[in-house]
Formats: sequence, C-alpha cells, structure tokens
Amino acid sequence: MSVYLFSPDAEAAGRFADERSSRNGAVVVLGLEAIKGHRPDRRDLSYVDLRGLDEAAGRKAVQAIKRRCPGSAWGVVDPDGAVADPAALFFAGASDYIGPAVIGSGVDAARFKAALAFGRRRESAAEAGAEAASFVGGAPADGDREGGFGGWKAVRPGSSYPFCFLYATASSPANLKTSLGEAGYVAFRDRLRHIMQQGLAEADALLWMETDSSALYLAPPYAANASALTEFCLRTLLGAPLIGYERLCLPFQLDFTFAVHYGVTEFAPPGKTGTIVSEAVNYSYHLGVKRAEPGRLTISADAAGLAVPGRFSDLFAPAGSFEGKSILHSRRFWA
Amino acid sequence: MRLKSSTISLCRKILYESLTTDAMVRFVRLVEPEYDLHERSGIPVNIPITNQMAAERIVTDILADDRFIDFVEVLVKIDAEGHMGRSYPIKGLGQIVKILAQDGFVLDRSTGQFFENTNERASPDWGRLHEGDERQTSILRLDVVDNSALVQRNRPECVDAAFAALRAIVTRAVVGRFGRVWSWEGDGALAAFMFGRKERSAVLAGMEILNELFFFNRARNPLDSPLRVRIAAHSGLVRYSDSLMELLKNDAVKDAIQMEASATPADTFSASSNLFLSIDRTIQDRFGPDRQSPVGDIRHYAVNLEKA
Repeated sequence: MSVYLFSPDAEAAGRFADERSSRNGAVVVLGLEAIKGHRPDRRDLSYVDLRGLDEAAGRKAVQAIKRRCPGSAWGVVDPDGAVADPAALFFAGASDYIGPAVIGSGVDAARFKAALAFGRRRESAAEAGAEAASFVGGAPADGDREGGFGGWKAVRPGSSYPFCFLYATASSPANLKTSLGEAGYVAFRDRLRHIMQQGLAEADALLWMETDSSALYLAPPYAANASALTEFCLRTLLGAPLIGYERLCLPFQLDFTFAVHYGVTEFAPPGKTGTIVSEAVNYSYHLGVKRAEPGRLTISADAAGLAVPGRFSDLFAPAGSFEGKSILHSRRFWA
Repeated sequence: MRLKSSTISLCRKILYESLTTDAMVRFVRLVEPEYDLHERSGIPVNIPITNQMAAERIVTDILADDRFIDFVEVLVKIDAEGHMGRSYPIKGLGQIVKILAQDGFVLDRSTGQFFENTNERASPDWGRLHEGDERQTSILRLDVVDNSALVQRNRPECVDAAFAALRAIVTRAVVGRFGRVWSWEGDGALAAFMFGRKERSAVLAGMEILNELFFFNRARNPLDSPLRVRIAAHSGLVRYSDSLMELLKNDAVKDAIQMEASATPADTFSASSNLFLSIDRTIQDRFGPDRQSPVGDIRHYAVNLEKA
C-alpha cells in the first residue's frame, strides 16, 4: 500500500502524516499538477490537499482526484475547514476526510488502514450489485478473495484454495515441432520454461501443470500478484519478437497465447495433479485452448477485477462471453 | 594490461610448444600487420631465432603494445578453426582463457571475442580499445522529447526519479548486449556497439528501450505526462577516443545524431537500412518500410496498439 498526497504546498503537507509514518516514508507528497499523471494501484490511498485553494479550484481538485482513482480509495485533506459539507464528499466516492481537528496531530497509519478498508467495503458492496456484463472491477474485492490462502509454504495438498490461473502457450505459423525437430523442441521448451519462471517470479506464480505444448501456472489470489501476471503477459506479448529471436534463437515468428482465470481448486503439488477434478482448472484450460488467441491475453470476468489494474484497463476490450462468463482480451500490439 | 609473471611464462610455454617461429610471427601479424620479429628483437635477419626466443619476444611485445587480448582471440580462433586450411592445435590455451576470465574478461564463444564481465565493470573502451583505434561501430542515440518542459512542470525529485529509471532502462538494454553508454547529457544518451553482433545489438536495444518505456509510462512514471523519447541507430567507422568531444567528430556519430533530430518522430526508433543486412525477417517485419532521410534510407519502429 502507498499513500499519496497531492498538495499545493509541499512544505506544509510534509507535516500531514504523524512522525512515525513520515520517518518511514509512508506518504509520497507530490504537487497538485501531478494528479494528471497519477495511476494508483487498487491498494493505494490518494489524498488531495485543499489548503489555500478557492472554492472553484478546490472543486476542480476533488474532481481530478476522483477521476484518477476509479478503482482505488481517495480522500480529502482540508486543514482550513473550507469544505462546507464533508458528507457530500463521501456521497461522491471519497473514503476519508481529514479536517482541521484531525490534521493537527498528524495522521497515523491506523487512519490510513481504516480509510482503505472503508473504500474496499464500499467497492465490494457496489460490485455485488453490478451486472455481470460490466465486469471490470466487478469481481469480489481483494479482501474477500484472500481468505484461505496463506502463502505457498502453508498450502496443504488435498485442501481447496482460491487461485489465479494462468494458461500459457507458445506457437508459430511454422509448426514448432517440425521446424525444430524433437531434440530442438525439448531444448526450446526448457529455455522457454526458464524465461517464463524468471518473468513470473514477481507474481509468485507456481508452474502447476504442463503438457507438451502448454503450461498452467497458479498465482496467489491477491491483486498485486494478479496484476503482476497481467504485466508479465503484456510484456511478453510486446517483446515476443525479441524473446523469440534473441533469447530463444528462433529464425521464425513466435506468438504467445495467455489466459487468466480466478477460481477455487483443490491443491496438489506439481507432478501429482493427476487426480484433480476442478471446474476452475477446466475453465482455465478451455479458455486458453478454445477461446484465447495468439498475440492476446484473455481474462475471464472472475479474474478481471484483480488482474486488470487501472493503468492497463485501456489495453483491454470486451470479447463476448465464454462458457457463460464474460471475457476480456488485450488489444494486439502492432509494430 | 598487466599479467602475473607466471601467466607470462605460461604464454611463452604455450607458444613455443605449439607453434614454430614462422607460425608465431604469421599469427602476430594478424593483430599487428607490421610486426617484424628481427627488428623488435635486434637480432640480424641472417641469424635464426629459436622458438623459445621468439615466444619470449612476441609475448613481451604484445603486452607492451597492449594487444594481448586481441592476440589470444586470434589464437583461440586458430586453435578452433585452423589457418589457411591447416590445423594448429595450441596446447594449454584453455588455461589462458581461464586466467583472463579471472581478470574480468569473458570469452563469448559465438563471436570468439573477449568481453568485460559486465557484472564487474563496463568501461567505455570495453577494457581493450586504445585512443585512435578505428572500428566499424553501431551508434545508438536517444533524446528525451520536450525535456525542458518536463523539468519546468514537474518537481525535481519526480524528474530525477524518472530520469534514473530511463537511465536504468537504457543501460540494461545497451550493456546487456555488449554495448557501452558513452555519454548521458541532460536529455539524451549516446551509446555504442563495437564488438560482437553490433548491428543486431543496436537494433534490439532500441526496440527494447521503447517497449520498456511503454510499461514505465503506464505503471511507474512519476511525471505528469508520459516520458517520450526519440531513438536512432546508425552504423559506420568510428575512431575511438577517451574524449567525448573527439567521439562526436566521427561522421557515423554525427549522422546518428542528425537522424534522431531530423528524421525521427517522438516515441519512435529509427534505424538506418544498413543495420538490417544481418538481421532476420522476424525483426525486420516489425519495422516500417524504407523512408528517405538526410543520412540515407531509414526504417521506423514504434509500439502501436490495435484499435479498440
């Protein structure tokens, strides 16, 4: 979690957080003009400081922070007590209001956590009522998804957990196996596996199942992990020519196909997954094999809320539905 | 380059046990075409020179001329491929390669060249060039678009953070491909590739920088607007110098700078057509068609998205 404060007076704003939070560098203080380029993560908390602004400028600043934080919590800092009706800010979507009475002693970490939790609860409630078709951000909130998964070391075989699933495969207009030969194909797969695992380290993903031509990775069911999956897939799609030519030494074009889904499944260690019967696993494979296209990342409605952070949302477009669930796919990179 | 006396002795031994005097001189001339053993040793031409004496003189001269690594590269090539249709196995050469690796030079088997181990250092002369050395070089020039406006509009710490990230992206793309960043001015960079597959490296580095910036601008850019660059790559003969001012006098460097300034739109990478001769179709296909520019034909690469 990061806390951002956009203020017209950086020096005064430096006293916004209490001593401990300031010492830890927990609050990033930026000028008001930086709101335009602000792209917060779902776990971030952003404040706009209205000190010294007239009514029109204050209203404009609140509108700006609201626009830049469609999927994350935001609040207003009002040291002068200029806002006549703070409740109206909450109706407009704010998660916190720091008035003159609170700001004097400095805002502490507990306050930030409370504001963030409030924002999440409200987002969950809003999403529960949203229609399935408008699924970006319409999935259950982060907190609801985390239940049950306590990290890879705590995962027990035979128990069920929520996961993000990543289906991945590489293909080529020239048949890879025919072009590379049996031994060359094995070496290619080994190198590709290495590249994938390096790239997916940030998402803390586990290579769970592997066939001759595809792989299924599991990632923890947190927004940070899911958005790391998405960023990896998009980076790989954009960098496919470099990966194919430079790192895999292929003399022909290589395309990647990715699909991400969220669901609950029984866990078994890699290599011992033969007895797993899971709707989520089936859906992930079917989505990858039957619907996902080379050069695109396809994301199910169940995963979209976690896996498509605001900063990447314009890279995706609705792609109809698959097996009763709405899906998104990434726009192709054309060079 | 400084070597331990035990390494010097080993080199001499390897040479005189594996090669005749004539062969040694022939191979030294691949590095120093004007090399004359009799002249350097002071022994008249009518007096024969033994293998041991020749090896001792040659190793001393090669070290004095700072051409030791070039000479070992030649020996590695001859050991592997022979010379003029004849094989010349050189016993113990692997030990020299190992010693150079300990000194921070790694042999790249695909090109047969030694490179500085970039995990340890990345000096502008690759640890082996000398003032005035001329080599075919690929130049990469990068310029930040509207740098002054960015600096004026944003807080200094945001500008510093963004430029540090850009420097890291460029350094990774260039040094990771055996290139060197020769200079970082306020708003731009000049990088060079002189060894290995230099044309390919320059093209791939330019592509990687634009790809990385695409994600940087979306995910980590602290500025109020995207960080935009123009990149150009060009190839030509460059005379190496420790002085940046001297480097900038090279025509190839001037052309790269002109290409970037006059023929490259923002968020675009221009590569001159002569770079593509050694590059596969899979990469060429990502570039647009040939366009004319003041320095010759160029092709453009940019990150474009399918329309929504």
